[in-house]
Amino acid sequence: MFTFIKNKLLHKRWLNLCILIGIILLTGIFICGQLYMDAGLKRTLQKKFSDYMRTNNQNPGVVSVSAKYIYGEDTSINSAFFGEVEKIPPKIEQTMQLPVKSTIAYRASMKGLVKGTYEKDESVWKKYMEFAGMTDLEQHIDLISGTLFGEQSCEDDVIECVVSKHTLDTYGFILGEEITFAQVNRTNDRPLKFKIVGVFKEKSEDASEPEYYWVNPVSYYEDSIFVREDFFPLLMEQVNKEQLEVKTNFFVFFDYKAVEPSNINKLIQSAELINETGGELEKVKCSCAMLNSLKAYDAEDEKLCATMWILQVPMILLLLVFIYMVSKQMLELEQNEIAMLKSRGVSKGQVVQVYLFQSSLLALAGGILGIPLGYYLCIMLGSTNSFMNFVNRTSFQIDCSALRLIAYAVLAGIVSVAFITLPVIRYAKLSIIELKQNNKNNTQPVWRKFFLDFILFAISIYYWKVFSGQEDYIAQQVISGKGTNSILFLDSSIFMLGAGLISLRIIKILVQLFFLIFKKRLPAFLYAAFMQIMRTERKYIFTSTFMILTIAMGIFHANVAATINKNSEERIRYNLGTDFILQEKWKDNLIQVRKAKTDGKQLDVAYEEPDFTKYDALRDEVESITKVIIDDRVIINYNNRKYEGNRLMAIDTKEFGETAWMKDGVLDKHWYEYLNIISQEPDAILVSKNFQKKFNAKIGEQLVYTRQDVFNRETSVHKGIIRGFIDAWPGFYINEDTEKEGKSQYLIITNYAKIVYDSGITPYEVWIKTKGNTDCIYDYLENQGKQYIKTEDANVYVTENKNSALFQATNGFLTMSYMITLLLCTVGFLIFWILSIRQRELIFGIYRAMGISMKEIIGILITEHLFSSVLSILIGSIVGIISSELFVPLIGIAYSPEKHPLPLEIVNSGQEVMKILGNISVVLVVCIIVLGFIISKFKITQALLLGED
Amino acid sequence: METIIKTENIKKCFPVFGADDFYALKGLSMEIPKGELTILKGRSGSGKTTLLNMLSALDTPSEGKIYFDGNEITKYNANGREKLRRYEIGYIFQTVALLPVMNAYENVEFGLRLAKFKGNYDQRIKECLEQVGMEKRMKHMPYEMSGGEQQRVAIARAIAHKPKVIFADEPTASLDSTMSLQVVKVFKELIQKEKVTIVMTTHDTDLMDVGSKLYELEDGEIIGSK
Repeated sequence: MFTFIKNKLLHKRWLNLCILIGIILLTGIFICGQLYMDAGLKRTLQKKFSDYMRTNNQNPGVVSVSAKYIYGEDTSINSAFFGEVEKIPPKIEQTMQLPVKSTIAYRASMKGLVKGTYEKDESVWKKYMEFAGMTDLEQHIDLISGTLFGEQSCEDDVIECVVSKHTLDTYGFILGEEITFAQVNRTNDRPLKFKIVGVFKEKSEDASEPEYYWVNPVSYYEDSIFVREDFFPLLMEQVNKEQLEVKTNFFVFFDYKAVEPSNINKLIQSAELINETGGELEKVKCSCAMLNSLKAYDAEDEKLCATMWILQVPMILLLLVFIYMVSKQMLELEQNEIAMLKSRGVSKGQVVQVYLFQSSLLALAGGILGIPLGYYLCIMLGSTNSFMNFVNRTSFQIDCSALRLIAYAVLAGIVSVAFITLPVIRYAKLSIIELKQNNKNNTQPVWRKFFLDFILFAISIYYWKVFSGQEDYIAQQVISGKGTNSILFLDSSIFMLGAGLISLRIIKILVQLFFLIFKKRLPAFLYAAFMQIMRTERKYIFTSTFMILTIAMGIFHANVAATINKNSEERIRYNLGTDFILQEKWKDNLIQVRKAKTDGKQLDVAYEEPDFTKYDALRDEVESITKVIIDDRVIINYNNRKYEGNRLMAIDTKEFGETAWMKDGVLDKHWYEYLNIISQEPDAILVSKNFQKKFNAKIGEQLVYTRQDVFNRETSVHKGIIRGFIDAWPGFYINEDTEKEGKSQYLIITNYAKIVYDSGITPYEVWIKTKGNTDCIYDYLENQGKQYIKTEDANVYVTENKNSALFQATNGFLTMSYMITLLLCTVGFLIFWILSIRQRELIFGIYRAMGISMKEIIGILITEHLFSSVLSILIGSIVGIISSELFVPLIGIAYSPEKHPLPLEIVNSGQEVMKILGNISVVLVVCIIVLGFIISKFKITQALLLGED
Repeated sequence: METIIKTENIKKCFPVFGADDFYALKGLSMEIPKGELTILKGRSGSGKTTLLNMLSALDTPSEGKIYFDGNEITKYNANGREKLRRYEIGYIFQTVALLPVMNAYENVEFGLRLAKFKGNYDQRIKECLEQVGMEKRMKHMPYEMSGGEQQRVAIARAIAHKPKVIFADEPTASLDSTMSLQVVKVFKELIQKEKVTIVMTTHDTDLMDVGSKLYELEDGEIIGSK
């Protein structure tokens, strides 16, 4: 049997090769999808951790345990309590079941009043400090001056200590100074006295990435006097407990990189358990830093999984249809052989067995080749930037056990074997006589008989109607992390299929009509071509449907990708306001003000403006630069009530207009007109529309608003005249959540000069519009060496967004599915035409013998092309454009669900359509050239001889 | 007797890899009488189909001249030969050569269209189908007919546009002897009614005597004629 099957495979090697390609792609895509899903989930999770790291500057793997001193007369209660606290970290380790990187203990005394050597007048400034021991402190600090503490004994009167630079800055100590606790005594009535032998800062390598040590930044420990860790308990023994108690903090560092997406739910439970029951001891607080990251991930993973499936399914279906199509073609060629085998007494089961064995061989080969393809595709996916756009980026880690890969390949193999073998069953039933009778019935396809096309179309339209009434609901679902309704995505595919099939039905009628009208005038070769088209329509349907779907999906996917990419990018730019925002650290007198405050004195906050003219050096390399004051502490006084927490934006109108990013057509008139309005009148202000809605304010009204300093003290009162209400402004969007809670933030836009005149100079942001490249700014900043408290680059956010697993998966899969459908289309198309020509060689020979010229034969083929492929392309394009119009708005919601001042703009990109049509045309031309070559090869006499065989 | 086709010393050679050229026809001179049935007889490999292809302008000889109705067709280019085949010649092939997507009527109609037949199509189609006895099967598709029936429709198609000569290459090869005789009977009737010339090849000894002229071929040479 093996030789028989080998010969059989080799005999139809081209068709078998196509099936093999189909299986390889199927396996590859299936595996790629799974791998990508795993890697994408993992990356999303790690992204959540790194987000946490960036915003909190803290290792996300830490669980902090802090125990507070219990005030009471009986000091033994406290020692018992801290004894219990010591037992908590091992319990936490047990609960989390993650690898522990390190456990850091910070044990300290309670704070006591201290006095330095050189302090004259105690009453000027009271200092409360604590002394502490911290695990492995020596290894995580860089000494700026002095030395580390040496060996210490209980007999020493003065204890060596190190303090952070912040301590020196805040309290004005100097190296070598002695600090004495004013109200605490050691045994033998000795004073508790420390000598600063060293000053440290955070170890630089720890600063770059908050690894496993400094949970709280060094500045947090400005009240701490650090002694040797092993000496701390000995010293504590000597201290009078009634005067000074001990407290303990633990930091248990888990390896957050070891968190697997698969055990998230359990981990969330564990973390919640720790947060809740860690505090079963009163006064103990446990907090698991990763809990919020885990929850945020948990909300997103379903969305990613759902999206991945939705993206994968149409492609897998197309591939299965392709495999089915090719194997059916092959069966049609082999039906005589099957019938012959049957007439010689081979049973139906044996015929199926032969095909089962044959397809299993193909599936095996496909599986073996498909695994590396899937792996490679996954790597490639990780490097797509947008639809049909690859970038050279190191892709993310893929790790997957060989066993799972094989399991996926086997699954894909079984499905494809089923799809190859199923049609055999039908053929295997027929004997040679039934076969001949069967051939005669050029019946209507099943779907046409039962009006499946109309049914599909109706279903899709019904669901479209349902969905388009519920945009808000869809958005809500997505925001709440439930993922999108998968029917929504499938619905678009159903629509394309339904509409495509209906179009084919209509085309058939049109062709018949055309033929009836022009029958008399048609030249003979066109007559033959039309006969061929009309009478063998059933053969064309499959290829036509395939083509229609390819093109429609290509256009639709291109538009989906373009829409989500463009909208999310625009929203990022809008939210930031411009391409690049800088804010320098301004010199201020905050320390003095704070000091004055503790002393009950009044001192205003004053800032020293850094030199702005230095940015002139940048002007040649960027489009424009402007100053923008953003103040979020503005109080609006309206109707005798105060509304806090509003935003003031003070701008230089001309420069702002040149620098800020704003989309046209969002406001009722061009935003430059609003700029002009306020530029003409110093007191003019623009107010956000939510203010108008809430208070029914009118244009021309006066609005009084007050600015505050960082200590929330009112500094200046301003009067503005409302000259316009705007619902969108660069850098301003209304937070829906707080809006719902009734805490609205209102925006006031006014002239920069006016604000500076009224309230003095306050820190401003520097907004920069680039010429597309931000390198020059980074170079500039590096050369300046100044400290910036804010550097925000829209490009960075855009790239980050594109790199998010969801966006990348979408772009990647859409690109991949397009390329694969294009490939399938080419192969399917070639198979169809080569077979149809091979099968008709005799007929072409007859045509030639009857005197039809080569040109006319090519004319026949072109006509057939025109009515099958070219019409399919046209239908596909139209269906694609219509489905984009219908479904892209709904799908767009799934990617940008939040309400935004910029409405979702649907991109129906003509450029993409042209690109796709261009690709298809190339495919067609190549195919026609191949076909022409095949036809021109054969000779009439040989073609006629074929018939004699 | 008037001659419609005349050949002068035609040869056809095919190159053979690693050997001398193979001559399928070795210098044939013959004449085909007009309005008669001429039979080319010979075993397979004798060169009769090659000869028929030359006579019917499907192929060109390597040497020699062929005159069709007084014109030297060996001088014609591909276009000229196509026109000749289209308007002046009708074909009947060994295997069933109906166009599978058309029914009997349409197959004949296609022949008429091709030759740009001047006259009433419907009338002529029915007339031709009647002559071959297929008028009742007009609407039938090829796969709904037997081999003999299909061949008869093919004959109707070949004669429909009133060609000067009909070439038939082993038209009876795939038919049984009764059907073969039927086909030959049809040929004879056609010669009478349509005044057409028919050239057919055969290896069937039963059919040797039905023609008015017979050429017997062997190894690319005429070894006898009647």
